[in-house]
Amino acid sequence: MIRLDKITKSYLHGFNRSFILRNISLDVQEGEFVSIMGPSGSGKSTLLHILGMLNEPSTGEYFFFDQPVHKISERKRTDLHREYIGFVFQAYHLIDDLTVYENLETPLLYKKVKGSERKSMVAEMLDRFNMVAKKDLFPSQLSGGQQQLVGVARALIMQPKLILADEPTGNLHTSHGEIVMDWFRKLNQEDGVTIIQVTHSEHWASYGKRVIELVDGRVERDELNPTQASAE
Amino acid sequence: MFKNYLSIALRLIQRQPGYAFINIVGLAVGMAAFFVITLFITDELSYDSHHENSDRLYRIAVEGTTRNGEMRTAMTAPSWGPELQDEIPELESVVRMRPPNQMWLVAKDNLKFFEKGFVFVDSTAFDVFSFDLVRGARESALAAPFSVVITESMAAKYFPGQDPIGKQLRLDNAFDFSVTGIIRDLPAQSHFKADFLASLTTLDTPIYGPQFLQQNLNFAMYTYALLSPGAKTAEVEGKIDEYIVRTVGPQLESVGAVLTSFLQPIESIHLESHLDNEILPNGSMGTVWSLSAIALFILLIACINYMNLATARSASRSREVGIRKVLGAERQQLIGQFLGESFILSFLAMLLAVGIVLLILPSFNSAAGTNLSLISGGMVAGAGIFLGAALVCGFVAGSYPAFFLSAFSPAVALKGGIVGMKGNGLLRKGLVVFQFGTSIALILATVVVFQQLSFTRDMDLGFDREQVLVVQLTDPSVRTLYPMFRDRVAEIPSVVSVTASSAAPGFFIQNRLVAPDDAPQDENSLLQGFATDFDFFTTLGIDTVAGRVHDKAHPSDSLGAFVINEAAVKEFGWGTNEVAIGRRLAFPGGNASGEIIGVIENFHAESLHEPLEPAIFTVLDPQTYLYVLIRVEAGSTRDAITEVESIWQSIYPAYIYQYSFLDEDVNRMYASDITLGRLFGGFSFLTILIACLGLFGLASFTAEQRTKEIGVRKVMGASESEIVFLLSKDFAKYVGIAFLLASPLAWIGMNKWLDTFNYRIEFGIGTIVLVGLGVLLVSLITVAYQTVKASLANPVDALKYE
Ligand SMILES: Nc1ncnc2c1ncn2[C@@H]1O[C@H](COP(=O)(O)OP(=O)(O)O)[C@@H](O)[C@H]1O
Ligand SMILES: [Mg+2]
Repeated sequence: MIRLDKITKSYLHGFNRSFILRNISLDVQEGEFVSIMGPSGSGKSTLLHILGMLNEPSTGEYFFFDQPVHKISERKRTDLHREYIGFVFQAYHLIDDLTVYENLETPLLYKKVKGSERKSMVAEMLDRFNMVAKKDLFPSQLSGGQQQLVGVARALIMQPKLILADEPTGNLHTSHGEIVMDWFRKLNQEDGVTIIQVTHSEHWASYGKRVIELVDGRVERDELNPTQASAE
Repeated sequence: MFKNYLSIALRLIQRQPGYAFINIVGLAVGMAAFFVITLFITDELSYDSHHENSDRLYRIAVEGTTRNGEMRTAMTAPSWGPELQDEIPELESVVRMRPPNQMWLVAKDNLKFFEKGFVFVDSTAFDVFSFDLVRGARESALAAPFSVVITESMAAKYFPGQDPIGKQLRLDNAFDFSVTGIIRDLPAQSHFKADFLASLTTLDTPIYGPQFLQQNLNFAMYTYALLSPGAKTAEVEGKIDEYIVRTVGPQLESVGAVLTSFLQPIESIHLESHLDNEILPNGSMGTVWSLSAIALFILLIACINYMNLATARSASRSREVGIRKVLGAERQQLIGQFLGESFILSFLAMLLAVGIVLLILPSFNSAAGTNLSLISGGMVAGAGIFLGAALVCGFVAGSYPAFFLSAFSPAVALKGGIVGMKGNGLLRKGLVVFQFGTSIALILATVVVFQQLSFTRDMDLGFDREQVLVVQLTDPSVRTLYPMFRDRVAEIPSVVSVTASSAAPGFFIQNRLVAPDDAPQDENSLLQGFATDFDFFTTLGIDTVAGRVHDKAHPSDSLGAFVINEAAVKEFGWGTNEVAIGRRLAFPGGNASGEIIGVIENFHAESLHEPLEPAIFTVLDPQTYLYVLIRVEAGSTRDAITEVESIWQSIYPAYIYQYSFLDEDVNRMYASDITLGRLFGGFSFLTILIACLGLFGLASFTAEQRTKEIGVRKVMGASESEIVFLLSKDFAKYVGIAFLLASPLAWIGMNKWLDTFNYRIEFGIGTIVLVGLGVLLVSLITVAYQTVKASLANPVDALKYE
């Protein structure tokens, strides 16, 4: 599904070029559940943004379902991204001025889904996440866990093939985190959705089948998760 | 999608009412000012465009030089019109028009009114002008002498509930006219007023003197010409000039004058023609331009508020851009969203603006002396302008978030767009400086206009304008009985003195050619001519500086005795006032001559826009007197007015008593300056209001942004007043820069305006600094609420936010 070949990302800092990602090459197959770990500042978010086509690599090649992402037009990239990718953020990133319902609806609007279909899709999500009663509330009226569930629901509403999650549980109490992670596991196992999450904690990493550790922009470790394997 | 934008825009109002209020109200006030000015300008520009053939309709005017300088007049001689039409083929039709000198008394039995719109016109008027004849026959209505065509509102005024056709109207208690037709009222946007069209052939009867219509060198008629399609104005002017040379050339030559004609497009007269003898006071292109500039500035300032607050919110908006991009938004869709939002707000502002316009239009009308209304004129064009303004404002105001923020890559945008944000602080500061610069310039302009006006009001004009009643002698029969009127008025105990004159300050003053006897042939001077009754100088409190003034005790004074002013002594180059006494003066061309018996102090009979002119005073017969001047004891003015009125009624039962006060007449000369002052005042108030609204919003965002810094500083021991100082300092700096940029521009501009006065104030650093400090104070008070609130906040609360 994903193939990265010698991806680097660098920024100019004054006269110095600082490298955030150095020569990253990796493959991810459809249906995998990958956890990316590593110390703060090691480039995890940057990598995730590149995978999600929110940011472009400085050099290297990126193939998504065999499409050369590094070469195609902005327009086509947006299409790919709309079609296949859902994002979940540590800071939730809901739109403050929209209700839960409208936040869920927004990606469908951009995808130009028809009104009636849109309604039923949003209703289904609200139902799945037990949020029907909260649909007219604004994000600020929800707890962090609830907001993140909306974030997950919003990522799922497009029925993406790939979910990218940047420390999705970073701001949550453990119990809320569990709910979110259980969702991910369920999606991965039942619907075959590919999941790549960034996390600091071994505990959350253990939900994945494969762990990649980044240190200073390099892949330090890339192996199947022993705990996950034993839990199986 | 639109629903999504609409709900975002409305949420914004709901969730940040203060922000929305500042945006919408600021924009609405700006738009309202813009709309009012647009209405005014459209009105000014639409003058005389109602004539069907206005593109080939011209007034014939005359310019040239006499030995005394230039002359430019809107009038031509009565004999010219028909003769020009006969000999110049390009003149499809020519009409002559003669409005009244002042006012005519028009009577239908006991209904009597003074009318300004009683004009004599050729029967060709219907071919040249687009008068809408609803009753009567176009060919014959104005053919016979003593025929009159009246407007519908005059028909209603004089003949309520009756058919006016065939009925009589009596002019000046002497001449009976029969009504032969009715026209629709003329639009207010006409450079002449015509409520009664009387047949010009009537003037064969000597209302304006014998042989009036045959006179070829008495500029006493307005002549309009409809050119045939395709005719070249320059050629026509050339042919008219040939006619002038052929018919009156020798006479002009004998007085050393050279005259040429020029054609004025009728639509240009109201704003561009400033000749002698204009029918009504015209508008000015200068006012139109300066108001247009003000309108644009105010609108811009209101848009800037919107932009500024949008940039202040850009950190949170940028996060939204990031999220939306992650959710699959394309850039165009974001541009659409931000512009859409902005359009929705500006549309709301527009609706509010319409309400504000309805509210302020009456004050504007009374300040500008106009009669504008939202419903008048082209409603469709008006609505177009309103919507256009709303769209432009929406676009300008929304363009920053729409085009700048939407360009961020989602990864950058999600971090609050840190990278791009540095520049917008500068933009914001620049815009605030612009707003306050404009406010300061406008306020300075207002202050200068009012200072100059109060200067003109308080300046010693050389005569005492207080406590003088002016009664007009509107027509010959009244003037005949003037001596009787004067003697009766003089007997009123509270009346100090009574006199009369052919001219008075604040009214039209005729210039006369005068030559000292010993001057070489053809060396004449142009002097203001006053034909006065005795006691003129005592009544106006003008001092005699040499010799004596006219006196009843010297019967010869009525024949050939002249008084001149000091400026005339200088004009003739006589060195001292005493030298003038006993010299002889003559009016060239005539046979009147006489001896100078006295010199009086200069006084300003015309507005201070004009230089002080040399003047000559003669004592003549009552037929030349147009104004009775009555000095009344202070404190008994009211009684005097009624007593004078009762004397008037007993002597002139058929005439209406019309009086004014001399000081008001003098002030009327500054009517357009006063209007300018009021308009500047009103609009500069609006400008500073909008700018302060914006500043208030900006201050609240700055305080919010710096909450953490303030908290840290307080924890480290900064006092509340130090915090207030810290926060106010920046705003004071912007106002300071604005002041430095704007005041020199305002200084240059206002000196230009002051130069239109011959007597003007010098406005110095003092005024400028005072205005600057005033604006600074107002802006600091505006931000005070926010800064004090921020300084009083508990530092712990502030730090918790991180
Ligand atoms: N737009 C940018 N410009 C310059 N440096 C950046 C930018 N974005 C991230 N960085 C730097 O890249 C490094 C890696 O960032 P990030 O990928 O967010 O790390 P992580 O998510 O692993 O903590 C950090 O040192 C950060 O300061
Ligand atoms: Mg990170």
